[in-house]
Amino acid sequence: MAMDTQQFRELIQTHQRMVFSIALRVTGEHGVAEEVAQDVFLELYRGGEKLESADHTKFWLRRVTVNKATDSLRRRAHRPEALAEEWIEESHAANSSDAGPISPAVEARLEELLRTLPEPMRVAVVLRHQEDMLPDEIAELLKQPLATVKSNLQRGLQLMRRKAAVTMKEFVREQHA
Amino acid sequence: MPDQNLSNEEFDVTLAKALERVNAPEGFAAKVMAEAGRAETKGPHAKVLMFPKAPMWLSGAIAAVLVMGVVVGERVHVEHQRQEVAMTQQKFDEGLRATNHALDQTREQLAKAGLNLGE
Repeated sequence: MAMDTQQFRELIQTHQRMVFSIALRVTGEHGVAEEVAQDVFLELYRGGEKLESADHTKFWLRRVTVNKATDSLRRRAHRPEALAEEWIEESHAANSSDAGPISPAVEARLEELLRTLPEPMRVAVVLRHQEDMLPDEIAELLKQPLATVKSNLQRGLQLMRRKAAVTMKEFVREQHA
Repeated sequence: MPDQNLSNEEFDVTLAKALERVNAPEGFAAKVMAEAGRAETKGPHAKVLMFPKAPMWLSGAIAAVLVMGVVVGERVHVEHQRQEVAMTQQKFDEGLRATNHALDQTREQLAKAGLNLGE
């Protein structure tokens, strides 16, 4: 049974940034992320999911978003490089008004590095560093052993640090200057 | 090799800042609401009506019925033609008999009149 329209509208308003951001960082494409986010909310609406609390809602939305985003990623196994550049440009154009404490160049570089990670590592890094989830929460969400999550996180960050070593030094110095 | 000047902690903090949530596209909520409304109109359990998949033997049975139909049709047609031939033959025989009878009568009348045309 579909949920109440007003309640649904409020849930979208509250969680759209979270759902869209997870979808974007996992899939790497604005258009695909929007589709994924839309599917997630529609599933919530149609499914009549019994959401017992705000935490449960957030947990459900995160899990379904990750599942749908990774499914979408697997369907598009080969992505042309042109799309990666487009994604970075779109991502920064969309957030240009929210000029954060780090330079757009650093942000762009890190997001680019995130995209190069294998899917399980990417998902773990997004949930840990975007959603600020603890490893055991990620393990519960992904239904994975805690050791697997920790390993994916560690290896993912190692890979990113190694790849960033060449360029990040200048960027971070610039940020702290 | 990792950059020695960039500590792990520093990197993690920078990464977390870079990966802050972004805004959903403009009009996203309205789009989802509209889509949900469309889904509602169609019905939550709208199903596409489909014919059940035909069992394997069904195509064989249909082919057999068609062949049988052709054979039976052919037999009916042959029988019909045979009957037509028989009727035509019967009419021809009756006609021939009538002609012979008329010739015989004519021959008798001519014989009475003194003319003999022979057999």
